[in-house]
Amino acid sequence: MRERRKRLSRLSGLTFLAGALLSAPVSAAPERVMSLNLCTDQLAMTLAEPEQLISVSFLAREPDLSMLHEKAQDFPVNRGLAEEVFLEKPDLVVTGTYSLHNTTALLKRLGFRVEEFSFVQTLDTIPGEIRRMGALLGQEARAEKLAEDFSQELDAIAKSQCDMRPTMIAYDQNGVALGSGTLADSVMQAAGFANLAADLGLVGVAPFPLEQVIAARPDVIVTSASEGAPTLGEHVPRHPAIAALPDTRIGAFVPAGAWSCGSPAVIEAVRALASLRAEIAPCPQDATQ
Amino acid sequence: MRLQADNISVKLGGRRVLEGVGFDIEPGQVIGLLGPNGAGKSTLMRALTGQLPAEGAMRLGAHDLTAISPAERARLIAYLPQQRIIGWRLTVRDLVALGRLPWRAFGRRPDAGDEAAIARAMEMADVTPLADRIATELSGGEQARVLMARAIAQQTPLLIADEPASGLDPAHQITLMQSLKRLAENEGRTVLVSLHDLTLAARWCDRVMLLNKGRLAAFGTPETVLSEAHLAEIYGVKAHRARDEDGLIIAPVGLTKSQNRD
Amino acid sequence: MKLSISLAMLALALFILSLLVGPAALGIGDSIAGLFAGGGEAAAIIMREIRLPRALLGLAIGFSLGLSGAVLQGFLRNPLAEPGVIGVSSMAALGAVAVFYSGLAGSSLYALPAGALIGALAAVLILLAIAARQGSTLTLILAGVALSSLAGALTSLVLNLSPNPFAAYEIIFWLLGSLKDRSMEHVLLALPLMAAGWLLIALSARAIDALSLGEEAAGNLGIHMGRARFLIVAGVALSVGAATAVAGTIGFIGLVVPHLIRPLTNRMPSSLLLPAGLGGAALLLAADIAARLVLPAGELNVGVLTALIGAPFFLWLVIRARREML
Repeated sequence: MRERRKRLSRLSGLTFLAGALLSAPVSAAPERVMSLNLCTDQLAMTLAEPEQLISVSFLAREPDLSMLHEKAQDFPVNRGLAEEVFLEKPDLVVTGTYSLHNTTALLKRLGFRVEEFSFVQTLDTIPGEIRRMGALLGQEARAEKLAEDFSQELDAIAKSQCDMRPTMIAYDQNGVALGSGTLADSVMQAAGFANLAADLGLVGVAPFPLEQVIAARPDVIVTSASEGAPTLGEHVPRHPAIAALPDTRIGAFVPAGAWSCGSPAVIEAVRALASLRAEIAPCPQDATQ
Repeated sequence: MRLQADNISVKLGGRRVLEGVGFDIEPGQVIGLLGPNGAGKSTLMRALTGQLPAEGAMRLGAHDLTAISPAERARLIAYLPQQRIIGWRLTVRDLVALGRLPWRAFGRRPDAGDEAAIARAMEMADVTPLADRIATELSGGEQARVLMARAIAQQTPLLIADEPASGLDPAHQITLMQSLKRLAENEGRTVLVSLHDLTLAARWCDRVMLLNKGRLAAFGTPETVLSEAHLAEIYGVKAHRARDEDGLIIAPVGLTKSQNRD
Repeated sequence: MKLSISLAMLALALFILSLLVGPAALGIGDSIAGLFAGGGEAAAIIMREIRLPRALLGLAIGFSLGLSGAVLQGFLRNPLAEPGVIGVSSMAALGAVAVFYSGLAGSSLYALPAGALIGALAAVLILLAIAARQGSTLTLILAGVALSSLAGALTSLVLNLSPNPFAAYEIIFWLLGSLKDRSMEHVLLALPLMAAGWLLIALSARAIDALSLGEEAAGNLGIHMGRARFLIVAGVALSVGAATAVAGTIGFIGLVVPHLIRPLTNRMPSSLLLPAGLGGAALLLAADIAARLVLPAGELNVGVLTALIGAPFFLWLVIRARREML
């Protein structure tokens, strides 16, 4: 459960900005690209020409996880198996460093060109990641524009913040919270919230006792919106104890899938939380607007 | 109480295993139930104890045995199965106390009357010195007497015991029969006991019933029923009959020539 | 009676201790105040919505498991009978999983006990059909092993077939249960069913005593065997089914507790029932407290702890049973 979440939420990105430079294409753009990972799916679907992308991962169609799940209906899906790749003979495979480690090694041995995207840690790495994917796909201009827009909007939102920093906990299935170092943490900070889980020392995506959620009395609890088949885990964020907190706002707030991956769509999560912040704890300039 | 049966028949799987058995037994007697394997001894006992559905009439005193509830039956008939099962490491006293279950209301502890019945039953079966011993740790003969005491403690007018002497050494066989005899003579109860040992039956039973192929072949005193002719015809054995001051001695010594048993 | 009172005191002490243990650092005073105070104070919410339901479930589920173990052992005249070992818990888990994850009842929690009762009932009936007649220890245990494995595999299958990718991770809960993050909803859901089960089991007290002498003798002692069988089947299915529905499979409580307590009684099966229930409650509460203390943040599933205690105990019993049965 925890592993899965980690995988889903952090699975693409860029640790070294240099990656973008090193993998800058010298030859023509690849014509058959396969994405094996939910997060590379998001970037590839945003940047590639439709005929350039021959398949995306099956999770790309999950409404709860994938921002672009509607667009994913237009592409064939794969289950990340080496055999599928072998049969399709793509000239570029994009995937995450973490999830399909064995598959990646096997594909490299078979001579495929595999580009791995590591975990996104923060919002800051996303523009670089957009540019890297753009370079890999031969869509540099499109990527540059997206990255630029992303950075500008982020800056604009950052400028509208003040000292009013309401507290927030992102509380997910099975009582797992999003602590420091996660994408969600940087989204909360950017939107003007204090991430209580991180402040209480939680690192990464980890179980967070329900009792501590109650004891911390956050101003906002973000739960994941789930419409799929039932699980027991989804009952934990719906525990009556949470509902009993009198002054706490509880809800999904973030569009489904918006912060599971470091893609341009994360900006929608930042936007949604920033407007929530403006609503519940207005800054002086919010009031004048 | 007087035990009367008229025309009892039992069908098992479409086959008649007991047919037209009838008798009338005055209380205060030990009745031996004899016959070769498969003659219907256990079937008759199970029919009388309500474990098998039977046709015909069965009465004990004023009670119609075919129309009473298990709870009522438990106060009229005590039954000692052939298989000696002691499930837990119970003390002898606790085990004998199980015989009082039919007389105790739900959730009630044994009262003074129960205690007296338990003490008397242990006395009868000669297990009083064993009262605090763990029943599963006793010898086979002692266990047989303890289980007999359980059945006696039930204080029913009729006690039915299925081969209680099997597997016991001669001394234990005799002490067991002595307890049954005391029960019938001193307390006026009716005891119906199936046996394989002919001498044991001849010496300790007031009357014997001889079953053959599901029918009652003979019923009377051991002297008349356990005749050489009957033993040859029904058991297929040649038997020596002798006599001492206490009664009959019957020793099977060989097979009859004509016998063709299963 | 003295034994029952001591065990009740022990269970009560552990119940109170359970209320005082948790990751939120509440002092004893705050805890007690929180339990009785109203309002939206964090301490009050934690005590009444999180710790109280957990402690209540520990008490009731432990009681159910101890009691079920004692009655099954008495009924089957088999010292190794226990709802976990003979597969009743796993079948209950399978039933709950099949009904809940299929989404037949939306994501309503009511689906859980409904499915679990069906599963538990099926298990008890299958086991009685296979093993009760001949009363062989080995047959029952082997049938239980087969049933447990089958139910475990099918549970895993159902969870893997769920379209929700998170469902598969909940196999751990169903195989090794937990009382973590339960709420009053769970208490209200399971407690009435468990209590009904206890009542039925209590009504079978005479029958299991008489069964010490075997079925034939018991029948002659005025025991209506059909009725006794119904009471025990329904009682165990209700109490174990409801317990499993809200806490997953918690094994070995029904095995360990009757064995520890039997030597303290006169060994009459009925006199073991109440002490085994109380002892089961105490053991589960203690295990659940330990589960919270061993790994405070991650929290161990209590089913892991009971299995760690119970499985070696079971092995020891098997070895001892070879020498001296019962």
